[in-house]
Amino acid sequence: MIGAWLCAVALMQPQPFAPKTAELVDPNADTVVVQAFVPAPEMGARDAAAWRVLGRVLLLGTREFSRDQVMRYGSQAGLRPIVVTMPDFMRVEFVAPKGGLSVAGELLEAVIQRPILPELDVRDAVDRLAGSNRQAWSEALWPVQPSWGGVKVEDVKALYARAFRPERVTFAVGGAIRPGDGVAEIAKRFGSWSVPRAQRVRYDLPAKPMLQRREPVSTFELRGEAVSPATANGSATMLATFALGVGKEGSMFRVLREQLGLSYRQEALLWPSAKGWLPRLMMARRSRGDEAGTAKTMRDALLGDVATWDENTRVRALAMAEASVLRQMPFNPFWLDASGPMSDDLSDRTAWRGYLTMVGSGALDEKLLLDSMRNVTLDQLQAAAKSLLERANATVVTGKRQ
Amino acid sequence: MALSLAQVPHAPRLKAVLPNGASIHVERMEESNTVSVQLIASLEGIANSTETHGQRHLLEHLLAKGPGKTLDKMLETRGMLLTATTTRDYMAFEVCGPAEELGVALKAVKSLLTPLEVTPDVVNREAAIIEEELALTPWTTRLSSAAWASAYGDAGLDPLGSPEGLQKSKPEELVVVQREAFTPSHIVVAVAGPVDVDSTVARVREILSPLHGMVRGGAVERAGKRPAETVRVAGVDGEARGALMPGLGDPMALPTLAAGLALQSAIPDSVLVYTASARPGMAVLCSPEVGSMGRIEKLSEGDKVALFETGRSLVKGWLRGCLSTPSKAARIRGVMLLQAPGADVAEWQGDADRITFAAFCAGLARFGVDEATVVEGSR
Repeated sequence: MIGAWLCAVALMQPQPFAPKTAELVDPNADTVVVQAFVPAPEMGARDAAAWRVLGRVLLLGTREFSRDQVMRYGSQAGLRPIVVTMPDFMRVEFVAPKGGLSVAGELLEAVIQRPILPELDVRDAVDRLAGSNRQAWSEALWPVQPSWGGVKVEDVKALYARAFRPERVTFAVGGAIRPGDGVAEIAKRFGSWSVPRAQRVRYDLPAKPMLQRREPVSTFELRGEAVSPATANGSATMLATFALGVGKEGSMFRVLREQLGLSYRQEALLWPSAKGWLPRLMMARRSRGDEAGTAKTMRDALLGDVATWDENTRVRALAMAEASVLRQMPFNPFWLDASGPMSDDLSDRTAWRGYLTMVGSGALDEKLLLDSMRNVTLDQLQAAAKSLLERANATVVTGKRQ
Repeated sequence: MALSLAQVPHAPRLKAVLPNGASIHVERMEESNTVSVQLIASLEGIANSTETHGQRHLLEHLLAKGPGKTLDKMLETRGMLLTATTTRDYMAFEVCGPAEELGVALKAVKSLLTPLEVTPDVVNREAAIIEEELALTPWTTRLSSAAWASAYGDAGLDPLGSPEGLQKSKPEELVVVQREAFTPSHIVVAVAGPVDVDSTVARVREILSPLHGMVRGGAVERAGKRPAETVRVAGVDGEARGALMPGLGDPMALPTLAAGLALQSAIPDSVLVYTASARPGMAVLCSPEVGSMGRIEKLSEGDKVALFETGRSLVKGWLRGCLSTPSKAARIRGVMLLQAPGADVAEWQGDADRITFAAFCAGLARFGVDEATVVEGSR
């Protein structure tokens, strides 16, 4: 139960490079989770490709552990070690059985500070990623075209050296630990981490946006600006996201699917970026050749619906927010990685605190976030939704027509 | 009174079978702040063919709207949510929400038992929505569906449906499927969360006791056979190996699953597709890259030893995950009560500890080219 968890956040910053560490103590847990959050540095199109490659090869061995050892020692709790690669940050995670904090900490230290980044695996990852065929929906979540041509192991290593620096990394430790254990473990492992001075780099052009795909599915997106609990009007925007696109009574399901029959899948996400959650209203449908018109229909229909909202809309949106934040319901719009909504498991609950610490709003307790949404009035809710829809960037990726 | 009422030792849970054959499973999960109430109807023994492919899925969509289409509004205003799913073996409706709203969740589940009343227009409109859903079918599902259909024939048809089957569906046919599927002896209501076990069983009994329905025959046990040829799937990249899985509870089920999970950890980007069931089925390992499955045949003894440890840990993690939340616990408990009433998921943790290296290797062999259904996609 969330209320029973002891949440403490320690931001140890008395010395240069003292690790920022969020801690979640859950006495009922039977595992320990350690995570590192690494924001991406400024990147051009080739770096955007190298960033994905880096995520693929980071776990493939360190100076002291072979890749098999990383996998075997890191899977003792029944969960594999993972690297979550997002467009502008990365999360590295180890889960150990209760009592295994030191093992998890040692593995994390080795992977973060001394990865091998094997050349053969880098080449293999470039080939795989360049030729990978992602599903339309997952492609829509990251609709850019990195420049795969010519990515070399030197690029990946240089990017690693720019990104993985003591002052840039945020840590989170959660689970069966005593208060302070996580902070102490991270301080022990990373307190004396030092790296050479960062080298100056020349950036190439940013990655091009994706406009077409070969799957016969078109995707449509209205994207707002990043919000966090610290953003002015952030609570109203987040609640508007719930009202628009969460649940079967949300505007997107009710209007786009049930009234207009446009799609099967449509939903609102609060997508994690290194600057905060991005409100993203997304829809996918079979390609028909009328994509430009559909994008306009989507925006207009939602704006029309917002004008009809009443107090019940606000009450429902708030109830959905409570269900998402306190009970991690299935359609929770809060995402922590590209695999789907935040769940109730220990990894995600720990990642919530680590992520918020990384974006600079502190490891906010979920209840405080909810309290701020409870104060939003119907007028404020409608204004935020209208503003979000009117100012949102529209992205359409057109699928091949069948 | 229930015909059988069994207090499970060392666990605050109760299962009951009512005189009409309907089953109840209630589990107290004190730590959780969410209650999950699930109505699960077995689809075993209900004929499925390419002609009717997708009817069950369509029925699920229509029933989930609830009579009068006011169900979602009523639930969501209270922070609750109704979701539904159809697998090859069952159709499940779940209402989850705060524990104090158990009564509302039970009322919602009761309303789902109302006989379906729909017009052809409504059916056609929903069929069109499902066709949109089909367009989004993930590559893993497409590969694993091909493996299932090749190994099991009509009994292995995917639960999603086909445009042809959906377009032929008529309201009166859906009503018949509903009547068959929701025969009391083939349904279970499973509840998990911070609930009082005895009083919750009594409340569920009030809902299920008045039900009566046709007597439905038992399932004809599904039997899979590896096709001699590689199965080709057009329009999708990647390849897959479908291992014939015995039902959970069979001594080879967990070793095969452990092998599949270990292989997934060893083959980059691979995805293991498996739905828990006490019936024979498939675990399908999919990879986006043709050729990557060849690694299975090249495993050395040392590789297998390393994978054995990983696989055993991962299958134990998978089992723990099955009981980790009210939603997951109610689902697996409910499905097992329908399919294998004597099975206890919690006891399988011990079975996972006892997986031998020989059994694990036998599980690995099921994904090998000599035993598995081999599927290759092509553009």
